[in-house]
Amino acid sequence: MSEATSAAPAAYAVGAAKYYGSGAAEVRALDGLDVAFAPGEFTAIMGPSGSGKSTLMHCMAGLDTLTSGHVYIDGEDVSAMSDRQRTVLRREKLGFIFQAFNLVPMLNARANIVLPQRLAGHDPDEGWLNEVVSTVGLADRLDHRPSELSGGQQQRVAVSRALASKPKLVFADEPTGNLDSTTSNEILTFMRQAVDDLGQTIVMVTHDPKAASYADRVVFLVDGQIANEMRDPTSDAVLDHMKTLGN
Amino acid sequence: MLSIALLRVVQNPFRYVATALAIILGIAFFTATSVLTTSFEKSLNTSIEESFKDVDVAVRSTNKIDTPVFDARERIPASLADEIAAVEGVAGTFPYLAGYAQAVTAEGKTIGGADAGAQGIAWIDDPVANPFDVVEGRAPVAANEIVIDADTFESGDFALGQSVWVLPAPASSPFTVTGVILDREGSFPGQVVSFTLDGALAVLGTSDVDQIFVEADDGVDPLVLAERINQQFGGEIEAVTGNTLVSEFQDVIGSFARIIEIALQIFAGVALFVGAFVIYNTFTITVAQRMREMALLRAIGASRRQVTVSVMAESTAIGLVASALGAAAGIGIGWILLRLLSGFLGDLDMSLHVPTGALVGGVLLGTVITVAAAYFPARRGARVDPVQALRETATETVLASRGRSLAGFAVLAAGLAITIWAALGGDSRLLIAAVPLVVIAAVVLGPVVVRPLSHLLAAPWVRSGSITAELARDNASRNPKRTATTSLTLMIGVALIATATMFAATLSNLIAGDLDEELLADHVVEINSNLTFVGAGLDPETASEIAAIDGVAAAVAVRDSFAEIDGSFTPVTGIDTAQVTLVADIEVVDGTVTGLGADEVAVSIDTAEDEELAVGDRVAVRFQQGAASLVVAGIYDRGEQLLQSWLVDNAVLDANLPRSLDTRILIRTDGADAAMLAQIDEALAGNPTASAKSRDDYIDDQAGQLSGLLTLLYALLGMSVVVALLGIVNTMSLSIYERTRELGLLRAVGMTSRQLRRAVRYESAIIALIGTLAGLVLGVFLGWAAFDALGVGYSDFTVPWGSLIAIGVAGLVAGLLSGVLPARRAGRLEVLDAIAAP
Repeated sequence: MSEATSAAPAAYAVGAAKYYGSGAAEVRALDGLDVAFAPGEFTAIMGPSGSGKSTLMHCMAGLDTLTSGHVYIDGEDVSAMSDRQRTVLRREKLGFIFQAFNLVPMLNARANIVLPQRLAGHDPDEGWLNEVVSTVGLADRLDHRPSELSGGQQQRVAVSRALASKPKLVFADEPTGNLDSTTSNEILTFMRQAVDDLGQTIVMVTHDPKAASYADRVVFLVDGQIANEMRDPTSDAVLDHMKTLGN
Repeated sequence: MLSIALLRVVQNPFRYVATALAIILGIAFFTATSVLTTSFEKSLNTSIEESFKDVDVAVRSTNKIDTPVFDARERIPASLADEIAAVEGVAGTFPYLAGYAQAVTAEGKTIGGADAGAQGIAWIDDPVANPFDVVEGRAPVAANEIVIDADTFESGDFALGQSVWVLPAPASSPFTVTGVILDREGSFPGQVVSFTLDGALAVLGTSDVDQIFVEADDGVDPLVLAERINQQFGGEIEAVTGNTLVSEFQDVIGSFARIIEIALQIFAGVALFVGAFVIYNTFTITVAQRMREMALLRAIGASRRQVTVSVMAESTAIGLVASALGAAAGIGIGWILLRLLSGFLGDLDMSLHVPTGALVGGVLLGTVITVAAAYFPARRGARVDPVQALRETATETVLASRGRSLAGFAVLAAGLAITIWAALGGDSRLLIAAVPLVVIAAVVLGPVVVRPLSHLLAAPWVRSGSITAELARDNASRNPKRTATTSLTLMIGVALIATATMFAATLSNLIAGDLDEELLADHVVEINSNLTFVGAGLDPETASEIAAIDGVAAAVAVRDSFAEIDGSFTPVTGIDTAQVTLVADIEVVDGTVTGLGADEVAVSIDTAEDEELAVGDRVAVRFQQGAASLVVAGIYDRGEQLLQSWLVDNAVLDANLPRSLDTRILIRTDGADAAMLAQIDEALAGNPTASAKSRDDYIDDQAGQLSGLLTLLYALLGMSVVVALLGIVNTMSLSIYERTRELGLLRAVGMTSRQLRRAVRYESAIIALIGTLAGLVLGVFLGWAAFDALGVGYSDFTVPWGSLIAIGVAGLVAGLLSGVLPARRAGRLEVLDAIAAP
């Protein structure tokens, strides 16, 4: 753990376990792991297919519930919350970037960005919104619908939406999985910027070592447990480590 | 390919529930009407055959009036029976006489059930020829004896030996109950009492009988006997065989049943038409959702034809199953309706007859409609490029083309131009051309106006800052064709309902307005309206008694009757013409209407123009008991609502009707007070079927007479509205299925389940409101056009704003309710599953 952890973590899980099925068919997607995410830190979660990385993110984000254990966001126990409370938590304190289908097709870019705040009944912070939008370079695209935007532009809208409500934590699920390398770099650079300049906390699930190299820290998952961690990763270091995990 | 089609249905049955229901309802309605009318017809035919099976020959007058239901035939002298009895080959003669007669309870009250009929019949002293059996006591022997049908006997709490009052005879000449009777075939609806022939002649105030039934000697052919009687009597007397009598009756019942059947099937047709749109919509959506699957089939070698056929097979399977279920449900509904009808007709015996032809026809019709409605979406699906199997997702073309808008507006402009031209004095028959143009424009322009209309309708919600309303609005207009087709189904039913409402309101207002102008009387005595058509009426003495009351300026008796003029059934009003101007503000255009003589008639100006009549012309009029040549003495303008188009003095009716009773008494007072009203009521104590009303109440009642018909129309059109609402449920469910991922995203970024449900309900409400509003506008236009074509002036046209607003609110509520189930389904989506959906 580094100097950043001196403050309380933005989110952490204790004994997080998620089982599917029962008896012989039981699958342990998460097998009682502990993990914490420090504020202002960019964490990448990596692991082979079926390692539980997506399940961990879903449970951390209140999209799914744990079989046992606890998840805390901003000090609140998510595992004790009702569906409605988790929904409110998502729109008040969390931001999301998915791999694809991030945007509501009939809303234009601007409406997509402010959607979580509108759903919460809050007025968007126009100053902050302009800052986010201009940083991402979307100012002249705000009136366009998703179908009129390129894949990279769509992801930038998604990133803007995730940041617009100044969330405690942004979860990104393979955010560059559908993009070419140039656009991927743009998006990842912007996410890096959000952490460095705006103090944003980001947790990103990815299988791309290049994407992971933008993070401060990489957490490797194998069979629902944390296998290893790496700070200040590079693509090559991550790739090498992945090879050892794969076997 | 066929197995793929069937697998689709079997694996995804819920997707088809709403579609199937649309067909089931329409076909059930369609089949039920056939079951009802066929059962009605067959049951009556059987009981008529049974009733007349022992009548060899019937002797009757050749003079008759064709009324809308049965022939009103002149009576023949009762004395003819003895003369006929003397004809060679006649074994016996049985005079048949029936007319309005109604037993009154000991408390002086009428008995319920008379609505279906109240008749007094001359007892036939032959157990075979008489359709009634005595089940208790004995048959009448003396002229003052009476037997009563079992139901009436029970509900009137009568006892054998009791002395009863029978209308229209006065209370002062009662009859003694000697027995209880029951008709063997159950073919006499309502109340029946029976007297000796002399008794019946006295009660009905006549010396004539309806017909004389003749029994032939053994071995004598009825046809030969009828011919023999015809040769001997001839002239205005005719003899027909019992078989002829039966087939005449059956023809009347048959044509009556056909009219009812066709009328009901028009409404069933509307429901099926609406159902066809629901099916079309379902297949358009599901085919679009399966474009990739179809492209895959094409890619692995299926021909376009095979893809089309697979969708057609799917629709055939659904159509067959749903139609069969509908036909089965139709039998059940038909049976229930038959029971209701039987009860309404005074427990007439009716048994269920299921017409095989109609059942098969219903199943075929439902299947054909389903397959036809699915054909175009199927063809569209087959046109998919195989390469689309590899692409993301394809959906149907959603935007309305420019050509469509232009064409739609052009058709609309043409329709409106014709309407305006017709309204400005052109030929109003042109409206018949304008109406289809406007309807076509509504269909074509639907997708064009969906977006602006959704924005307009959602504006109040959206302005209040509701993001759910905003999402609902955008969802409703994201696929304008789909929304338009869905709303269109509702538009059809609502438009017809609005037209009916307009019609009723305008007619009511016209009636009330006319009566208010025409009626000078301040009180009106009326016979219970249910009884006027069975022949109830007031003894003419009553009007004289009321006229004699202190403070009554005039009590003028009115007799609503009918005759045959110029070959057609025509209502004719009798009145005491010496006093007519005291109670009716008649505007006389030519001649006079006052003090008409026994060979005079007055006609309304419209009728005079139609019939090209002028004062001094002669008109041949056939009344129920006699014909007359009347001279036109006057032509009047105002007064037609109160007194109809042909006016004669009561003396004319006295001379030409078997018995003429007063049906209304128009009373003019010098200012009515409680004492006078009490005296009027006292004068009416002699007839419990009559009651006095104030002028305002009378006008309200007359104007409100259409409300019953309107309720019936609402019920019949309601079926199409229900089908249309099922269509909304269907479209919403399919749209939600299609948007699963998007809904998952919305939930992930913070939309609560409640917000999501609300958005779905709002969207459903917007679709329903578009349909309702379009229907209201179209309905008002149709009503107005129809009235214009009927020649009603624009100033008389009434827009019932209250009712129209109520229909609009009902549309909103129905829309919200239609959204409840789809909303619940959307709200139950698991966020993660939804995001991961294909």
